[in-house]
Amino acid sequence: MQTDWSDERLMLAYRAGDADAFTLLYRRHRGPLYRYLARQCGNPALADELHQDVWLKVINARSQYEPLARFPTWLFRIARHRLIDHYRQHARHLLAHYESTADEDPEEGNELIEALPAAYEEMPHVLHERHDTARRISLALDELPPLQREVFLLAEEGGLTLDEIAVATGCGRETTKSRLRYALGKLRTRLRDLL
Amino acid sequence: MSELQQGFPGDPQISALYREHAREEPSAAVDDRILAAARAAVSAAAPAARRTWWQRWRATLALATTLVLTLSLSLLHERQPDDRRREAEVAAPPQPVAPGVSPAAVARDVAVPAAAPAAAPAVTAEPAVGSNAAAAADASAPGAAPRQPASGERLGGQRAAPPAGESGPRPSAGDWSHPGGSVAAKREEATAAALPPVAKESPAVPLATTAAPAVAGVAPEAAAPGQVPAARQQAPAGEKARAADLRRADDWLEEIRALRRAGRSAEAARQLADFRRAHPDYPLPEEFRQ
Repeated sequence: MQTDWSDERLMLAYRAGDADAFTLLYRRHRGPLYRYLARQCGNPALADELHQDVWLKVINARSQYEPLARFPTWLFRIARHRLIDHYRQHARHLLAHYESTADEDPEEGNELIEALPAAYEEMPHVLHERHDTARRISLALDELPPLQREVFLLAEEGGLTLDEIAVATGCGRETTKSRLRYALGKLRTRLRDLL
Repeated sequence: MSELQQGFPGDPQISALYREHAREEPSAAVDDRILAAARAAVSAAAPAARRTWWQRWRATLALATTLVLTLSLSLLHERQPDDRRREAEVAAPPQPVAPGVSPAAVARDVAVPAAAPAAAPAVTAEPAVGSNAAAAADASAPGAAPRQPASGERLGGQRAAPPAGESGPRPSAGDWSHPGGSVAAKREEATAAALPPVAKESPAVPLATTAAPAVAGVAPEAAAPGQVPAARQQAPAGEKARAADLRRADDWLEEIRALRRAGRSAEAARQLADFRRAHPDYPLPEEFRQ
């Protein structure tokens, strides 16, 4: 049964011409990848566009695919590059943070929060429909510095390990670990009453 | 977090809370577009991968074959005009047929002089050539190019006589394979053989320039402007002498008459004897039968 196959095996099957394998693979990763992009760019419509672009890159790169790393690592790395391309074209002030490898100061995030686009959860019609808890989680994530939020999302949505996150983001393992620790600390502070 | 590992600073409570409320997903339209693109990419690549060697290369092979054929035809056409001109030179001169002379005899007249020089020993040395030429002439339709027995024998029978009814000596496949224009040389010989004797080239007949009206009538027709003189210039001296000997029978007889009128009976008798050996079947006029 293909449903039992690993991501890498499904991708190899798709490379060999099995379109159903791609469908299974897509169903597994469409939500996590979309949420990663949506929370990072803060715009659902833009997230749709980026999401489609990333999967088209996967489709076009199928002939060169080799299972040298786990499929999610490869997929989220493509997504991250696409996101950086977007920042390079439309939000250069955010790109500077992605290109910086220095560890963040816990207070640094306050400036970045103001620079971020408004999270779509904050829009009235969305806020009205969404559950209060989900909205608070979303707001807490939006308040994180981009690099810390990125590490948290890669760990939660992509299921990547510290080493895989370090490879995907081009940082050292300790830097990644530090970012994740900061992110979790802030979230715990903001969501304490929900835990 | 899915994979808690050694040193991983995870927070199971935060993780559980996040996952419980993470419900955002891409729109169905985006899903459809991505899946359609994935299927299209696979279906487009499949026929290309399944193509056989022949399917992949047949267009290239067809193009190469067409180019080769076109080049071959172009080269053939490039060579054909000269060859046709030579054919015209050989076949064009209409032979004035004397009254009572059959077309076959005319053909023999054209063919035989190549092997029948004026000198008697040469004629006697090749008595069979004349009969071969006669046979070839009989096989050829009037107007067909005369077979050149001497040259045919020199070629060791490489070239057969043209079949009856053929309008002219079309080049055979073997002719095209001759390098260096050996066919052209043969044709020039034949052209020279078909020419009437030129009086100034015939040392034995000083009166020939005034003697033969037929010669005067034939020469302008046989010599296409600018072509026959050129062929004569190209012919070596030996071939010129031979061409002078290849006189036609009626011209020859006219020369013999001139000799008789000039009182050179002995020479006339010798010429007549040569003529009889060269043309044993030629119906002699009454004045020469005595």
